[in-house]
Amino acid sequence: MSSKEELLKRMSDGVVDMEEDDVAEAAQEFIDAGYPALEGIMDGLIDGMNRTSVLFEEEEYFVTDVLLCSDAMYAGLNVLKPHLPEEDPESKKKAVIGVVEGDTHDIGKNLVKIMMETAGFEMVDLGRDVPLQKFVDTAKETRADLVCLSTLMTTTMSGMKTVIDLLKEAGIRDEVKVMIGGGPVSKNFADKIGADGYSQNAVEAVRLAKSLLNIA
Amino acid sequence: MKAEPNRRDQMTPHERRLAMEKGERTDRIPVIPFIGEISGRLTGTSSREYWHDAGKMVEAEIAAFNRLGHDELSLGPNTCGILEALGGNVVYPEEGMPYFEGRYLTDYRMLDGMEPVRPEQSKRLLFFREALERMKKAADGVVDVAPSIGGPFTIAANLRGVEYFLRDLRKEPEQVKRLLRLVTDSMKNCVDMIAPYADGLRMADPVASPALISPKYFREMVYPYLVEIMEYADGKIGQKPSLHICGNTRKVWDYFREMPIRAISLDNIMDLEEAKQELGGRMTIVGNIPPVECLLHGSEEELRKEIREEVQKAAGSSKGYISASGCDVPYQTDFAMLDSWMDEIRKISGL
Repeated sequence: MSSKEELLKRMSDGVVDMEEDDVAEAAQEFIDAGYPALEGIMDGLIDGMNRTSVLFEEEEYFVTDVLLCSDAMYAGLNVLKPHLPEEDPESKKKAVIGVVEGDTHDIGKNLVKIMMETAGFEMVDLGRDVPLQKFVDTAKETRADLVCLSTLMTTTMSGMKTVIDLLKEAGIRDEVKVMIGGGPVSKNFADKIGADGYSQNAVEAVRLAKSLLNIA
Repeated sequence: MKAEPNRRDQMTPHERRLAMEKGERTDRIPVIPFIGEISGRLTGTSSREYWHDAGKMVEAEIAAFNRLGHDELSLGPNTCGILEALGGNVVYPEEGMPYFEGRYLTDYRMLDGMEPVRPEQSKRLLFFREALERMKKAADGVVDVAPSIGGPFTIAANLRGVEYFLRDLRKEPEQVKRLLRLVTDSMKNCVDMIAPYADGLRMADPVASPALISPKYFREMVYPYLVEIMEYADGKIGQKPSLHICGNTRKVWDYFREMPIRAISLDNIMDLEEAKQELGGRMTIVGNIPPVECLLHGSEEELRKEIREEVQKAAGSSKGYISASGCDVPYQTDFAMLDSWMDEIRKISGL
């Protein structure tokens, strides 16, 4: 039987090496041995995703790799999550995320979602081609801390400004931070439309989200 | 409606291209703004109409040419047309660029029953043939016609669903290769259809961007198929294709140098001076006005400054330089910005 450290390492390595089945297996062994699920998630799976992020930033890993690493992470998460003690839902920072209306490119958005989930955010994923008002309604309903908008197309960029205007109209602009990303978008554009921040990639998005909400 | 030579120019775009190829003097730097359905705004043609009415499509392109006098006319089938011919679903908004919806190839077993597309069996491809035939006639030898097709990798990725396809590269490489074979063979049939009306060929392979895939996958899954279709097109059209890949392509420039590329179109984040040094000896450098920051949101002065800076960086490249947008010109761009672009280029040459 493997030690706790061995199992954690297997999970972390499995995520980095994109070995879905092995991660799920190690996670099951971890639970069977009676170790706490939270530790498996934090020191195994998330440790692996953090290593993946570093490799991605160093341009050692590419989008293809990150997708497969995250598949492996979720395989482990599916095993460990049911064994987590009930947690206080209020404690997690919540973010609404989606691709704005008129655009169906969602790889970037999905990567941001994965990375932010890994970093402990609760993500409300509205998908792609999302009606602008829906961002606002969902942010209000879920009392979100963040609204994350993505687009790859120039035709839909202006929708981001509309969302910000709609947030003002709904009277909740001061309660949420708005961050944007995607191919045609830039820091300049973010400033121009009054968004709180722009990030160029998924790893940076996590840093931005944390700094906007003043969390370590 | 026919293409009219621009009065400020001393050469027609066709003459300019021939002179550039021979290394002779040209009256000005060639300009290629990557425009498409946006031209319809000049003739009151909606984006959807533009993509479904060959007469209106060509009328719009000629109207844009007669206003700007830019250096090449183009039209599809792009990635969309070939994707549709293979069974994929493309949505054509009333205003704006077409996009892909859903995924067609949900199971690789579907490939068992699929054959390479033949234009004579595809209404969608025949539409593009009709448009091309009309365009070639309207261009009247004044300006070259260079149809555009997507790269095999991009078409395959969209047929399968990009996120699935990217995972398959590692999980099911053999199936990916089967799909790429089908797409490449279909594209060859498209090239046969296009060739009689084409003075050149443009290829764009956005999903093959190093922003998404590693150089390793570029070498295994992009390079062989892209080279195969480029060589095929060269044989049929008598002109090597131009190529556009989005994002930072620096990592695959070594491959670019080995490919039969006539002209390389670079994303606006790339440095033209570096491109001139590294690639300019083998291919024409094309680029790279920022479409969003500059054409869509910039001021006229910023645009003119950008053009001058780029010309300074890239002019004198040994296989020539073409002033172009770093990617497609955004649909809402003010056409007056394109006028200013042409004006600035002509001013630089004292025209």
